[in-house]
Amino acid sequence: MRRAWLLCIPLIIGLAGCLKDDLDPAGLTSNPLDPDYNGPALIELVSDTARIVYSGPVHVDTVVEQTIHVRADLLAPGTDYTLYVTLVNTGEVFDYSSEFPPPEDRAYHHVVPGVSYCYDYQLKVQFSKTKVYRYCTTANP
Amino acid sequence: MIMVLRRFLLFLAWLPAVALIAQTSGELRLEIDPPTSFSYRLDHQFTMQRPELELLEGAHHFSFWAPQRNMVDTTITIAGGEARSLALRLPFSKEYLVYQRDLKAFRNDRQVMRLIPAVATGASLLYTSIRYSKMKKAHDRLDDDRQAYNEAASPNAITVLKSETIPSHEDEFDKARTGYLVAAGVTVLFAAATTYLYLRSAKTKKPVFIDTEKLRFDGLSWTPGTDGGEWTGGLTWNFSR
Repeated sequence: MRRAWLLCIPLIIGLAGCLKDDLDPAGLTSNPLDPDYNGPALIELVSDTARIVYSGPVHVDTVVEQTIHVRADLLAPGTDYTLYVTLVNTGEVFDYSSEFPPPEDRAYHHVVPGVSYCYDYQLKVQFSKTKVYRYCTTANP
Repeated sequence: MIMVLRRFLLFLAWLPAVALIAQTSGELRLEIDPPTSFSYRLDHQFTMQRPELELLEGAHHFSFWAPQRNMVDTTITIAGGEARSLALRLPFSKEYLVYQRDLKAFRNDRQVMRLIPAVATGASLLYTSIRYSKMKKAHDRLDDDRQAYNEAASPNAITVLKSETIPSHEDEFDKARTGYLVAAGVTVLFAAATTYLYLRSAKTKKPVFIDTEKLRFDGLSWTPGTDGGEWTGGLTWNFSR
């Protein structure tokens, strides 16, 4: 009788110990659509350039451009997304999900040599944005 | 002459027997409560249980007794050729009444010491299992949230999940866990108290009934039987005096 009751105590403690709250919202960072995502970059910088634009022999502009690649393989199959780009230095936004999509040219024009020009890249999925990926290029044509 | 004397002596020897034969008898029917378990001793000699008997006329002494009852002595006069009955209720002995009182108190104490704590522990255990079930459900909801996070198809859904749904479910789980731990603690306390009271009550001895009236009734008597009968004797000594 006494032993049976004594067995109840570790059983109860054991049952309680099995069910712990080990779900930490701050620790949830594995979903690529999570604004706190902490895995391989969803948007990768492929290349960046600072080039001088000539009109004949005349130097008319100096631009900074970046080429990026979206890692669609990290997303669930069938996920629809659009790109959302912010030119950090000017505050200009290129939202490709808007009713009137912006032009494809999103280069910085008339850049000052030696200045860093940054882009914030995000994906827009179901009207909300993913984590910001910021890539900067220094204008050194 | 000798023949005459012998016949006279033979006549004298037969006189008591003739007188005995001439004495008439009567019937007595006993209606005793309790009707089946009583015994009686007739004329301080014969212990019997028969409810009907035929007795020689005259006064006869009876000592009646039954288990748990007082011994009752009485004298009954039997008239020749008549049938009479005796209705008698044997009162319960004082020792038996005391024993009944003590037994009732013992059972009540045992009920208080064993049944009530056991029922309380059982109820507490049931309540604990209900609380555990609630805690399990709350934990399952957190597991579902983790699954929902992995399968979330939009950043906004993830934000809502992490900033509202999961914290809310965590609060519910914490409350359920606290409730379960309190219930489990109470159950452990009840179980310990039940064990303690059970062991303590086991030390209390159950009252035993010693029928001193039986010893008084048995005394030294001859019990007739099919093989000739037997002598029975009893010795009573009150140690409390």
